[in-house]
Amino acid sequence: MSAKIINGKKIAEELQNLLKKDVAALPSAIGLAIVQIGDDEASTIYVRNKLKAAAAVGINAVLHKFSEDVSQTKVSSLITKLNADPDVNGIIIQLPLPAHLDEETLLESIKPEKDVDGFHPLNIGRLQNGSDKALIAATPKGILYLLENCGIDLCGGNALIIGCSKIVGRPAGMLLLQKGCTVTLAHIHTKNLPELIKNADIIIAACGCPQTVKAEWVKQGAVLIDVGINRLNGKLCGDIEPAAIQKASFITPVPGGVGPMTVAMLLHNTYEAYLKQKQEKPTK
Amino acid sequence: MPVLGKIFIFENVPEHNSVKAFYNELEAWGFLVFCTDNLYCFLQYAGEIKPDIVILHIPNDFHPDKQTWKIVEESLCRNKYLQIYANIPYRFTNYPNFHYVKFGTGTLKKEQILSIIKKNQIKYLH
Repeated sequence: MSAKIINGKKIAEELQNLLKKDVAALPSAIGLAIVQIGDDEASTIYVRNKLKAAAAVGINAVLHKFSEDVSQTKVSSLITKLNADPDVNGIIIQLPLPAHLDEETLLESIKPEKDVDGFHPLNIGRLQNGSDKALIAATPKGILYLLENCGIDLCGGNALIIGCSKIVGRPAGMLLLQKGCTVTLAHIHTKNLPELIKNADIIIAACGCPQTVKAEWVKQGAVLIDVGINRLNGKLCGDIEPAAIQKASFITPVPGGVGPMTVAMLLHNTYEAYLKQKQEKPTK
Repeated sequence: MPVLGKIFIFENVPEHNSVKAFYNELEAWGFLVFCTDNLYCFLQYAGEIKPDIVILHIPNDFHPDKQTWKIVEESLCRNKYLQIYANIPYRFTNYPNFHYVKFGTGTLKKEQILSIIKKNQIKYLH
């Protein structure tokens, strides 16, 4: 039984190189608007990475930055303006938002066709229905891309997803269900986690709790996807114990596994949004 | 079948069919095979896997910086792995337990590597 460490960084780079060629072949430019509110340090880093990656593939990304105390009306009017702008194909509101802003209302105000984060209820509903019109959240879409890129046979497998957040766990569950997996979603109230892990062929750990998945529970030959990035004793670690590699057939490292795929998939979503708006067929 | 030992491979093109066939052969022979195409992960997981043999297949056009090599070397030299380097620049391989295999084409020559493993297995494997 061999174990392969999935190189998410390399796969993301390859995807971005393909995307760069596809973007260059389009008749007009792709526009992405990023809305950032406040100066949250982590958000600033994420936004900078998105801007840099967009520029690298030839997408025109523009940052719209507001101060921490901006009013809901002011942000809403910008979203309305961006929704109407034909040069803007994708809109991202960088989360988290300051407490005085109504996050749900703002996310729902984005035109679903431009919602490249895939957070709009219409896109979530389309994903549930298996519609190809859906723009799917970047992280679960990236996870599926990694699994398929590694040639992992998903149909008929037992998939366990630990953590049922709206942006990772739940959409990842829907995607795997559509690929023929028997999906179990575990969460904070799940009582028999070790038993569920022992029975899982594919484990997606996205609970944000360091080394929740113990190596001793993992089934021989399981595929392990680690979404968590935590700090433990000063070192970065995931939600899966590194020693689980002894039993895995595939494992994503932390860092360098799922993380790099998220930005790549966000750009891919922007490209897809452009094609859907122009009613052209994607090449990939 | 008893496990003969653990092999950890750094290979820049792990998805290549000839490489997969090579892994299958090692497995059929009784080894547990681990693989990565990322040097950082290679170091990160070497401590977890505790391999008996490491194989580094470095193509001629792959140039990690000197600092990276220093970290790789120091990490590997602390352990008594049987080390097989393929195509690695020769000046980096002057350490005990290492075997250097040069490939003109950059493809993994399994016969050469298997013969080194066979020659050394009694000395290094449990």
